[in-house]
Parts: sequence; C-alpha cells; structure tokens
Amino acid sequence: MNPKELVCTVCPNSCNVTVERNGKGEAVKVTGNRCPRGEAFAKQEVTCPMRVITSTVLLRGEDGREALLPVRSSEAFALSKHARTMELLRHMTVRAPVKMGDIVVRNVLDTGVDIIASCDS
Amino acid sequence: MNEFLFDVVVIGGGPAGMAAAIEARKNGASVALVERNPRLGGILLQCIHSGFGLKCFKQELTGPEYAQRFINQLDETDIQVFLSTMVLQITKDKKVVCMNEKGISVLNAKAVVLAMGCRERTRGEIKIPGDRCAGVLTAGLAQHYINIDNYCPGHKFVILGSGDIGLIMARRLSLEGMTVQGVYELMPYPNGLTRNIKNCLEDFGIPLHLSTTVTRVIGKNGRVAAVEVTKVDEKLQPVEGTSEIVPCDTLLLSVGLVPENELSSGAGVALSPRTHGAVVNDSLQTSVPGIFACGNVLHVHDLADNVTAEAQHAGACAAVFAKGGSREDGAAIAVNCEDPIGYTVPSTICSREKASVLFRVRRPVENARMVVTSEGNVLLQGKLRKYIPSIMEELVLPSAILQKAGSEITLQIESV
Ligand SMILES: Cc1cc2nc3c(=O)[nH]c(=O)nc-3n(C[C@H](O)[C@H](O)[C@H](O)COP(=O)(O)OP(=O)(O)OC[C@H]3O[C@@H](n4cnc5c(N)ncnc54)[C@H](O)[C@@H]3O)c2cc1C
Ligand code: SF4
Repeated sequence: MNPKELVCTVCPNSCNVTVERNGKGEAVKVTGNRCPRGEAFAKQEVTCPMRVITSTVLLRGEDGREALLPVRSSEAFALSKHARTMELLRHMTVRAPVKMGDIVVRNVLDTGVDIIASCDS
Repeated sequence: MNEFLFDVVVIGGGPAGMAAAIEARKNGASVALVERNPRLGGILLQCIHSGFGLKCFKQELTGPEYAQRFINQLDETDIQVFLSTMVLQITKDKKVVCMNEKGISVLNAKAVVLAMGCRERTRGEIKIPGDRCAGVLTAGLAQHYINIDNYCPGHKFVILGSGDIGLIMARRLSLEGMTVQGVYELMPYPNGLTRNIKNCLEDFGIPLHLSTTVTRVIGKNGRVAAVEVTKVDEKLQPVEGTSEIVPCDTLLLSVGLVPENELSSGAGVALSPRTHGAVVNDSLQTSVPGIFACGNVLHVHDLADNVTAEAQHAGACAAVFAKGGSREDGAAIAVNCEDPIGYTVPSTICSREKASVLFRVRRPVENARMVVTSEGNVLLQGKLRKYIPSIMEELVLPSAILQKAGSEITLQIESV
C-alpha cells in the first residue's frame, strides 16, 4: 500500500507524519513524529480513527422548561460510530438537575465509553 | 440608586473575567464580577467541542467543562457576582454604572478589569455584494442558535473563512445532518489550527478551497439561494472567468473577531489601531491608571488557556493597584515590532523583573528566527522554526535582558 501522510493531532505541535503500511493496511513504519504518542496515534489513525464526540441533548428543567445540555464522550471512540451516536443523542431527553460528569448514556454502542454531561444544569 | 464600593470590579464573566476576579481575590482585594448574561462562562458556553484546557489542566476539556471548573472555583470565594447585569458606562474615576432588573447601580472601584470579550465581523464589514436576503449570518451566531437555542438556521451551507470557528461549525453542522458545500478561504493558507482542518473538514469530506472568496450573494424570495465564488490572485483580487455558482440556503461568515471596546473608549482608554484593543503595559494596565484589560477585549486569542493566564496576571496587578502598590520599577521600555509581526501585547514594559510579550505574525514564515534588538544591539536570538498566523506566540524576556534594554526594544522575525 502507498504510504499515508497525516498530521498528528495529539498536541499542538501538529507534526507531519508518514505511515508505511502493509497489505492489510496496518502501519509498519511511522516517521516524522517527534514523540512516541505520535506513533501510537498514526497506527490507530490508519486502521480505525478515534475521536471524542461532543453534542447536545434535550434537558427538561425542574420547571418543565426545555433547554440544551452539552455532552461529550468520556474518551475518544471509533469515528465510524459517531453518526449512530448522534442519532441516539438526538432523540434523548434528560431531567435537571445535572452535574458535570454525570453519565447520560452508559457504554454507548458497546464502545466502553460513556456520554457525560459537560456542565451543571 | 444603589452604590457599592469594591477594590476591584471585573466586567465580563467569560474565562478572562472569572480568572481575573479569582486572582484579584487571592491577592487580598474585595471583588465584584459583572456579567450581562444569566450565566457565567461567556463564549465558552456555546463552544461545546473539546480542545480547551490542555495548558491549564493538562487534559482536553469542552468549553462548558472549562467554564464549569472556574464557576466552581468562584463559588468557593466571597466574590460578589452580579448576573443579568449590563455595564452601561465606566467613568474616568472608575465608577462602573450597571443596569439590571432592580434598576441602576453604581459600583465604585479602586481598580477595574475590562474582560468584555469580542464580537464577530459581519457582512457589512467585509462588504460582500449581492442581494440583501435572509440566510447570511456569522458562524458564532449559528453556533449559539444550534448549541444553546436549539434552532436550525439552514440546511445547505457555504462557509466563508477558514478560522477555527468556521471549521468547528462545519463539523457541527455535518454531525447534525446538514450539508456543508465547502469552506472558502481568501488567503492561500488556512487560518485555523491544523488539527481542526483534519478533525472538522477531512473527517467529514468537506472541501476547503484556498485563494477563493464569495463575490456575490444570490437571493430568491428573500432567502439565499446560491453564492458566487471566485478565485483570487496574489493581490487577493478576483480573477475574471473563475467564478462558480454554489447553491446553498445559508452563508456562514467566519471572517474574524473584533474586541468589544465601546465601554473602554468611554472611559478614555486609548486603543491600538493594530489590535483594536487597549494599549497596555506589562501589568496589562491601560492608558487610564487603574483600568486593566485582558482576554479577547484586549486582543483576539485562539486558546482559552492563554486567556486565563493573561487574565490572572491582570487580576493580580489590579489588586496590587487597588492596595496602592505598583509593579513598575523602571522607566517604560517601548516594545516595537517589524513586519511580519503584526502586533505585540504589551506595547510598553515598566517592570525589570520578567516580562511576557505576546505577538502574532501576519503571514506564515518557514525557517525564521526571533531577534530582539535595543537601540541597535542584539539582545536575544531564537532558534530556527516556523511561525503561523493562527497561533499566538509568547516571548518571555528575562530580567537580565530587560536590564540591558534602552528606552525601546524591537522584535523582528528574520527568514533564513
Ligand atoms: C467558536 C469559538 C471556538 C473556540 N474554540 C476554542 C478551542 O477549541 N480551544 C480554546 O482554547 N479556545 C477556543 N476559543 C477561544 C476562547 O473561547 C476565547 O478566546 C475565550 O472564551 C475568550 O474569553 P473572554 O473572557 O475574553 O471573552 P468571552 O468569553 O467572550 O466573555 C466576555 C463576557 O463579557 C460579557 N460582557 C460583555 N460586555 C458586557 C457588559 N457591557 N456588561 C456585562 N457583561 C458584558 C459577555 O456577556 C461575555 O460573557 C474559541 C472561541 C470561539 C468563539
Ligand atoms: S508526534 Fe508527538 S510532538 Fe508531534 S504532534 Fe504528535 S504528540 Fe505532538
């Protein structure tokens, strides 16, 4: 497979990284990274890119009024599952009061990652 | 009319205002914090994406999480927070006139910290010709509609400007199931952080068109129906024959931010034509003694962490001033800069201890080094590296260098 050029997004240094791949698309050699975190990132990126997702869910206040609650995934998880996660979040309502870090969806789509509240509300 | 007296009054409850207030209190001042919205957090409340806190907390937080951490810290202090309260005027003798549901009140301050943030440039400011129809709005406003108000401002978008707000919105719209036709950027390089180009555009297959701008808005029945985009030459002038029509119902503008300084001007604070923020010294004190500025009202920041660090310094200096002290232990050294450096904050240095100078380049430069001179003598030479406009840089001048400086220093970036 052709080598893949990508930018490491782990830290603001934004190193340009080149990944040489075998027939299965797996990384065999990573160059251009300034630190080991870049190598791990590049290997993951060519097989299954991982991202944190952030969105909002509907929040019903104690007075019955509706607002939006910002939420995030506790960790990065497969980008390929983000669209389905959005679908789930779009149809959710949570009740106030909520504290930052409260779990809104446990183990979303069996990723082992939770969706949590980004702030008190 | 109610009257109050505080050592330090902070105006604006975003990350700048919150950090300044907390730091002023830590330094022994009595503090009031005034915010026009019903909640603290400023622009962070609508920045639901992650990318905050890497410097301050060594982890990647969302905007609301970053804000919540400071709100929690504030809750543990006796700082008096005035919410849903708008500052109408600051006088030269530091009376802060506010209005809320209860009426008008006056906060008498020994020192004031300006932390009002900035606002977005609009269509009028960049003069896009064409029809005056609905469907042209700034990216930050769309962000507020989608993330806070739960409104859907359109279905098919074109984004003008590749600054971080535009990129973040491209991803947000895509995630919410709307179509983003493309991001168009006048300059030959992207204006946002590389990570945002990757995570917000490439992940979603959204094209980025450099050296291209929107040259006309085409409306139909009072709503945007399409925009005309055209390539530009090196002088940023549209090239004839390269126009294309892109159908869309909404044009988002992410074309820059301007510090919000009406209150500052009213207090007699001198503004810099380069930053559109106050002219400050290294204590972040403006031309009016006892009035300090920090955050986006001083100059536009891309990282909230930098806002926090700057605001802590402003808060500490304001507390010292309120107590009758001063950090100024020498004649002012003027800080000058040469192209490609666009500006520096501060523009004068009075302390001889250590000073931090923030600056930004106007265009990307590869393989260049920072050179600091004073009256013809070279005081400092940096390593070879690249500088890009989307990243604000910090140069720390140690005491040894400040002692050697004459009445001015000049920052240069020399390409090799
Ligand atoms: C869309 C977007 C995305 C961003 N993404 C990131 C990112 O990923 N990572 C990162 O680190 N940074 C990011 N930033 C930058 C960062 O969020 C800002 O630089 C920072 O929030 C600025 O803080 P501030 O306190 O100066 O201003 P603001 O947050 O704007 O706060 C100013 C406050 O002052 C109040 N105010 C103004 N006038 C008055 C008045 N007259 N009376 C009372 N109150 C008043 C306002 O209501 C507001 O609450 C982003 C910014 C934007 C806009
Ligand atoms: S390779 Fe290391 S230094 Fe370079 S961007 Fe990635 S994490 Fe940062």
